[in-house]
Amino acid sequence: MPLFFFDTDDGRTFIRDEDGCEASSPQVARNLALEAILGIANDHPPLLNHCVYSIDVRDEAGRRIYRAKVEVDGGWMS
Amino acid sequence: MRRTIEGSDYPFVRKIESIALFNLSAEERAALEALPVQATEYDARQDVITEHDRPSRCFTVLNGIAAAYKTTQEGRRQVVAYYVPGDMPDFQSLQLEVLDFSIGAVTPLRIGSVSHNAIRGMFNAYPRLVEAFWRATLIEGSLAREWMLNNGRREAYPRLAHLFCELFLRLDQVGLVSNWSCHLPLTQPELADALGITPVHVNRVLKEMRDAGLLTLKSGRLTIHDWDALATAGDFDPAYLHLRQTAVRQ
Repeated sequence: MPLFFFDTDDGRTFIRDEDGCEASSPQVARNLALEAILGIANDHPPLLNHCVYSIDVRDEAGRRIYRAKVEVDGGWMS
Repeated sequence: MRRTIEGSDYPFVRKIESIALFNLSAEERAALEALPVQATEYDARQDVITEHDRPSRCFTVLNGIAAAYKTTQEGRRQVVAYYVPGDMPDFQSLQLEVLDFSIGAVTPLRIGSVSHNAIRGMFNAYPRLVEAFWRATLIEGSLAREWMLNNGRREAYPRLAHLFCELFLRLDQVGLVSNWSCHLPLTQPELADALGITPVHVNRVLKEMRDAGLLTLKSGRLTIHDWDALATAGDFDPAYLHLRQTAVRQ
């Protein structure tokens, strides 16, 4: 099964994936990224008012094929 | 593949010895060793027994790792316990006729099964052994409580660190750790099913742990480089394992 690499950023630390996860297709890899991003965000609630969580998916050739991003933008109303 | 095995050094004899609050007499030890054990082998990911089965035999893990798991209606799998050599995953079937979970091979697995009747006969002849087996099932309950805390309340990083600490100490208890390293071929999707997180998240946390110099999980081997740091990261207190002797230094 092809390997895909998931570089993750939890708003504090960017981790480049060197091991990869198996996925049968780019579509399945996309689903894995979307499933993972909220879990990662949930693990580390935002420290600051503005916080971006992201996952970049690379294929075995090193091409970036997909990006998922969750942006939290908090601010006082008055 | 099935065959009958005989032997004096089943990991489960060692396990019962390490669990019992008394020293086994020569007769009690002989009775455990004399249980008619039938060995069966399974491939990784093959089921040994499934939910709603009515087993007439109990089994012990001889080689490899097994998982108890349950699945939701949509097919999402949650591992609820791992079993290492010496453990008796479905010992409860002696009292609870219908199995409420499935047990599958995580790695290539060799089990030894014993009929309920043979176990009952041994208990009738050596009632003190009942206490040791009772203690084993109580410890399983203790593990389940710790898993609930771990999966319910710890973040992914300490959650995974905690699981590694537990498996490492349990493998050490049956002599399967050497030089801070053990055979542990758990894949990222498998760990994800145990921790209730996604495989991508497991992947991230493993990389973080490796970068922090805590451990490496490579080619089916777990090597711990800094036990103290891993135990601290995992908020790990081994009291719930109720081990009587631990070779790994704390």
